[in-house]
Amino acid sequence: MWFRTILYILALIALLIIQITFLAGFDFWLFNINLLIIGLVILINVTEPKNILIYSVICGLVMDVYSILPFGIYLLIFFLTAIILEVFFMNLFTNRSFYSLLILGLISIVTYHLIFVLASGFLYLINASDFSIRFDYFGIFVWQLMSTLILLFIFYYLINKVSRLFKPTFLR
Amino acid sequence: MSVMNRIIKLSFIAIITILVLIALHYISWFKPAESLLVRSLGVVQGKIYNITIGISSLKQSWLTKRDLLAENKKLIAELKESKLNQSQISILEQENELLKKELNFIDEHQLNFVSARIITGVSDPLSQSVIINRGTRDGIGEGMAVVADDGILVGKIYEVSDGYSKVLLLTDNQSKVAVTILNYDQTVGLVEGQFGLSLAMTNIPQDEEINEGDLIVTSGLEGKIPKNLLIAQVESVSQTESDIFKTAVLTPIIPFDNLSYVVVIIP
Repeated sequence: MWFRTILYILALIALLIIQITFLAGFDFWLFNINLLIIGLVILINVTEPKNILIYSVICGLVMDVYSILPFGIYLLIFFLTAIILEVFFMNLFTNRSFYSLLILGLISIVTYHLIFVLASGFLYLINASDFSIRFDYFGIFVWQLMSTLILLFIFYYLINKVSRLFKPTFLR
Repeated sequence: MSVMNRIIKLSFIAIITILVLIALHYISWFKPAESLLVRSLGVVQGKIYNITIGISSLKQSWLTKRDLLAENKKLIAELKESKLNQSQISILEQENELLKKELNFIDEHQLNFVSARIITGVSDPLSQSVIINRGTRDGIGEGMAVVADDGILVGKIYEVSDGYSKVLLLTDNQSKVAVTILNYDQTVGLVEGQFGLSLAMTNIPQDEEINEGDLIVTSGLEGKIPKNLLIAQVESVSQTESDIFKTAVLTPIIPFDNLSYVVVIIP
């Protein structure tokens, strides 16, 4: 159990480094892929609710340390996204199917950006932040939505090739 | 229902944890942990960032080759044209002189400076920034000029921590720097970032004459940024007669996407 938790945390940190350092060096298409959200959507299917909240706080914390935006904004965004994902996962999309995974991916990106726009807009309005939403933000949102679904599709098939995490289990 | 109750309970604990973390950050008690995180991940990030720059420069060199061929044709045509007008040569001489001065800027002006390595660029939909491996203990403070390639301004220090600093690049939307155009009128104005892609100079009075290729340098009106740091050159000028001011679109002297070492000028 502990081994698996540490493995997931290391995988998330690897995704964080790729997201912050590697993808940031490229142009729009790679720069705007949201690997962390993809990681959270996959993890929500394979781990306990308690753990997903811890993972979301870790993601938010590290992103906040590196981001130039006011500290706490990513903590809030990742945490609220994880909560909403968890509620949908526990109540509606419980079967770990391909379609459930894609819908959870879609919900996560919509939630992430909705909270991002509301939080950054609010902080800008109260003069707590210098950064406001730009006119090209909608393009970023659409691309993240598409890239997240494509990558989740790829990851689903790759994970199914090497593991039984997304395969249904039956009790005898 | 019990699972939902558990989620609510855990969420409550997580919210308190988040609030505590935010409070600790703003009273600076969390800074040592943040520095430790940046330093420990910085080792891996530095290597990955170099790989990223390597990959980017591969693509860049291919693009540069293609651009150079096109540019070569254009330059041949321009050379013929420039031969017809001797006055152009004197302008080029002036520009050349300035560039030479910029190359030896730091030596000539005997400025205090700290050289820094870029640990990582930051992937963020709202901002264009990088993190450098120098902080308050190296004498760095907010608002200081960050230059590359011997005197070309690339950004300003936005936030400082003990062992690292966040640099807001000039191409960021929120970036504003007071500048002077090296034209006859020595026009002053503001250089602003354009959505992470380019730069624009605003607040230029309509009656000032600006030409393509004019160089833009810092005006020195901002206390922490020295005068005459090269920033960009004028690419085009857009003006509407009904407006009070006109705007110039600028081309940065160096690309901002593959910086690896910079110098922070300490006033």
